[in-house]
Amino acid sequence: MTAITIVVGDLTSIVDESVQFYFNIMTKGTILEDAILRFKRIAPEFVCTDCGHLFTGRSIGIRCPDCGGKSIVADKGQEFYIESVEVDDGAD
Amino acid sequence: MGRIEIRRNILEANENLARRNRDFFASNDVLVVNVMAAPGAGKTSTILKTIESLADQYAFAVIEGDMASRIDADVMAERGIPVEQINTGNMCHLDANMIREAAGKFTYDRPTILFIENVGNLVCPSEFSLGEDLNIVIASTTEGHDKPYKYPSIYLRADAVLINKIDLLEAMEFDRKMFCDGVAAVKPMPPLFEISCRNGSGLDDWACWLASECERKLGGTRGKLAEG
Ligand SMILES: Nc1nc2c(ncn2[C@@H]2O[C@H](COP(=O)(O)OP(=O)(O)OP(=O)(O)O)[C@@H](O)[C@H]2O)c(=O)[nH]1
Ligand SMILES: [Mg+2]
Ligand SMILES: [Zn+2]
Repeated sequence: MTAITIVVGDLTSIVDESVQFYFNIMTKGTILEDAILRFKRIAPEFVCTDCGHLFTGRSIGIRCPDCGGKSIVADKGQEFYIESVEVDDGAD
Repeated sequence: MGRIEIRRNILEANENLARRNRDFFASNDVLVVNVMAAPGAGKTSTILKTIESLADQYAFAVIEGDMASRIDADVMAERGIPVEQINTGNMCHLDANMIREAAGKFTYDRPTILFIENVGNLVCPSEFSLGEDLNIVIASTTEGHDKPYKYPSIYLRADAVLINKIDLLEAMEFDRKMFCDGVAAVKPMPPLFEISCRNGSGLDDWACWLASECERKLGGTRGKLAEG
């Protein structure tokens, strides 16, 4: 059995179900046919423009939980990459 | 089970092609502007107006991306603007490979601004680099002031934001402050231009900014562009 872990940021337009859908089509009849896709979603991170506090949240324009200041999108939430692959190596 | 660390960007193939496009454009003195917006926001109108104002300074070419039809390409061709139409079928965005093919069909004998009119969509085009120098997002007063909050990913990539149809601002009750706060919540405020392709307002400032970006990229290589 093979399992592939894919990391997806919530700020991307990537939809797990549609990646899975195309994966199934593309892998049909290949050694990856029965591979499992695992999706790891990353919540967006925001930074407060007043106090610099870093926090995760759901929506754009969210206020800083510490000081109530305005926030701006930080680095996390824009990922789309293969993190790892697990393969059966014969060992238990 | 053995676990193998991979950490590879899934869109890597597109990124690599985009990088090759970028080299191609640089060696041909082409500034590439990727125009992204919702359907009907005014991409074609803005491109036409911009070409009109800068026509004596640069050569232009346009790549039109639409799921179907040649309507926008025909508008460009009627005005004698070199144009390539890409029909994406059921794809909702352009990718670097499509641009490579289309961009290779133009001849570049003097400094050129190449506009890429991306498929009208605020979602998918944001994921795919094309080899562009500038990403422009055109909002329009008719689509409402809340779009940066609802479609942050496209604004994340914006090097400049245009608010088109500013002539309709009042009729649409477009809240400029709410819009700008939304853009500023996504990234440090990029240059913002309020324009109207209908009455021409704001277009000079925008064209002037674009020309200065063009100078910055191509000025060094060709020396004399827009006569000083
Ligand atoms: N009132 C007003 N109408 C405008 C303005 N700019 C464009 N329009 C109108 O808006 C409609 C759409 O303009 P286009 O330039 O075709 O928009 P587009 O984004 O290229 O559209 P698609 O390629 O179909 O997604 C047309 O009817 C234009 O005449 C403007 O500044 N003010
Ligand atoms: Mg158009
Ligand atoms: Zn704070």
